[in-house]
Amino acid sequence: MNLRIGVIGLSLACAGWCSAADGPVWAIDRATSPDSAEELKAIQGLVKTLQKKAQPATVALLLGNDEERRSGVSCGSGVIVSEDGLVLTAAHVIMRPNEQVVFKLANGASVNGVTLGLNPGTDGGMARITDKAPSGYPGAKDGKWPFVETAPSKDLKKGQWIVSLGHPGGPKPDRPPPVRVGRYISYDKAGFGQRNDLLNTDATLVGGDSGGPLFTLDGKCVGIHSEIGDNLDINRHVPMEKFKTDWDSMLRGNVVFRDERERERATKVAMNVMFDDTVNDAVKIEEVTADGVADKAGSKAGDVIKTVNGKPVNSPDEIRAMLPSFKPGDKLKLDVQRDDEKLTLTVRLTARSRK
Amino acid sequence: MSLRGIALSAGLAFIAPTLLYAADDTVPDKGRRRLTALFESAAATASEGTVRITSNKKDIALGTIVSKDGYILTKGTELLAKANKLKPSLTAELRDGSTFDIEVKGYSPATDLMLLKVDAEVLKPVEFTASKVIEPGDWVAVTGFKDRTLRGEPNTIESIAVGVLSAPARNLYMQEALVENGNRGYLGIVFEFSGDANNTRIEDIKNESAKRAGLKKGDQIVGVNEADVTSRQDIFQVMNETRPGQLLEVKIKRKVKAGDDEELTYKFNTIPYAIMDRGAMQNTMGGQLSDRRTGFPKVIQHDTRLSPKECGGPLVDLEGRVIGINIARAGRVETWALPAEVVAKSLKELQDGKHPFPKAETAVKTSTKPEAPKEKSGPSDR
Repeated sequence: MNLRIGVIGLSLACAGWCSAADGPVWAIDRATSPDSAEELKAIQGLVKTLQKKAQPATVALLLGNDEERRSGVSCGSGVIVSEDGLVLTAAHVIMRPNEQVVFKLANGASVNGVTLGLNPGTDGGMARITDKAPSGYPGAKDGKWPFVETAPSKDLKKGQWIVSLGHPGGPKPDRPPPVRVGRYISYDKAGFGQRNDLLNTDATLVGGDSGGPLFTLDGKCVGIHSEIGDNLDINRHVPMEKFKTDWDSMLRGNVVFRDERERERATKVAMNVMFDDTVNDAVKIEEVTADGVADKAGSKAGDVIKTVNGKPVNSPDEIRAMLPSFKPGDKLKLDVQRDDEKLTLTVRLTARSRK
Repeated sequence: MSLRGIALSAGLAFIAPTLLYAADDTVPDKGRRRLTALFESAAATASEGTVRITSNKKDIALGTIVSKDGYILTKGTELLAKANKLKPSLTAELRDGSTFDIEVKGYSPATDLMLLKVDAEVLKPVEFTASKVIEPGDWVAVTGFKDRTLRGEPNTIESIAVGVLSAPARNLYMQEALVENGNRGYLGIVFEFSGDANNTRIEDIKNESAKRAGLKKGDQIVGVNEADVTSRQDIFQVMNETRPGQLLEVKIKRKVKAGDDEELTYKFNTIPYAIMDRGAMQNTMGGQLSDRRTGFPKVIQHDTRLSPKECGGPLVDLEGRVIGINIARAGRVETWALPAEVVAKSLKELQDGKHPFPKAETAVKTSTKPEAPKEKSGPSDR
């Protein structure tokens, strides 16, 4: 909707409590509109401070072609949340763990990285920049990345001012991530028309913005862009709380599923073993299918798997959680304990057979 | 890096259109109205310097007064019925309600600025300030008019839209640098990639209507509607004049086993956006975009929500400085303005007579024609 009206009475008087020296302070969680030019300026000051810090931490993600992504390079956005380059983004931007990513920085430079875990249900996802921050990059220090802090969204009030950054339309030369300012509207629970809980604000987004950050005026990231609707006021974000719930799992490169059924449906590979599910603090193989891929790799009943591709695993469910990340033909390097022996086996995953 | 077939909507999915945002009287709606009231004094001079341009009494654009003796700048394509031909009955209406006939003094296709003259004195021109005085995050306001046509009342210049500067003055590249009609029809066909810009052979057909009509991979396009085409640029020039959904007659050459190529004609409809550009569809969610929304020398970007007919007027900051002229509603998230520096240069050229209007009809491939798309590293539908 347009911001339209004629004059209804200006109030340029400063509130009684503000001093000529510092000017009025704008409370970060204030949910009403400004009453004076001074308050307008206060918001403006907060937005500019925020954007100077947040822009270098806002990245574009470029992922390569594959059948699922249809044609061409796929673009989304993300935000750096730790000095070692951890990036929050949207699940539908990265699609799968362990994929190569090219990150485009706010100044147009490119760095490399990899996708981590994701939750298709919440649309949360993670990635990591593996290159060091280039020297001279704004906010970078000794190869460490500029980053933003996160905060929960639950205390957001209707009408509270927010800022969105991202790369609408994909990264463009000479264009740092454009700043948009708006108001928080609502927390929409999953239901008709949407599968998951999302925040709704009126700062407009468009394709390419997905995965980018939503900020409160103090520069804390409270959401990650996910969807838009027909109306300019429908712009939706994954609440930060959803990331916190899945943090460790995503960090380990797992796909987080709503339930068993979803996980099974997303699993395209098989190891041809049966795990001993009565043991929950170790991954013990109960049975190896004859002539199956684990058998061919040399695995035997009784083996305890300690790590998979370098990642320690402590329960059969942890391995099951990893499997949706792989395609038939992918290799799993297993560090195995067999009685007193330590072995390394390589299993070439096969396609899961559907009954 | 290659921007081959950029799939922009790895961006956003979209929700079912039936889920409407419930109208709500409380904040933020009310809050926004109070916000614009705070801009009244900052925008006062810019308001005085804004005119409404109408054609047959319908608003088609805003204009910016640039001299006391009646010169006005506006967004030229909004006044054109087609290249070189103006819409009928063009009038400029000032803030005080007085109306004037318009004389077009020049049109610069590069900036899309058109210079108008009205027979009026004592106009209040705006003064421009270089756009670098503001940074991303600074408030900006746009003088606008209140659209009262549905109420049967006259429209008036009195209201303001507010936003922030999203990105400072920048050059445009690749697709954004093309001078073309952004709301044109597209073939929905992927051409073979080759270094040869004359290659009009079909690699893939995404347009369902074209598939059903019988078009096939390997067909070479030799004619579109009445025009013979021998290159992708020829095709582009024809397509730039079409509308989405328009019926086309396309002539092709197809190899047959023995003997000469077959020449066949197929009829099918254009589609609204380049098929490789999925983000383009999302860009239209939430409001109309300007026909001419690319191909400017430099633009500043802000998030104020304007409609195409609200372009052509001044962009002002919180201090009341006019830092540009709004030149396009360019997308769902962006309105573009020509920065004051670009406006000043273009205005001087227009006043010096460098861009006469109408342009002489003699030259075939002149600068008023859309530029050829640059051959990109991949198949494309442009």
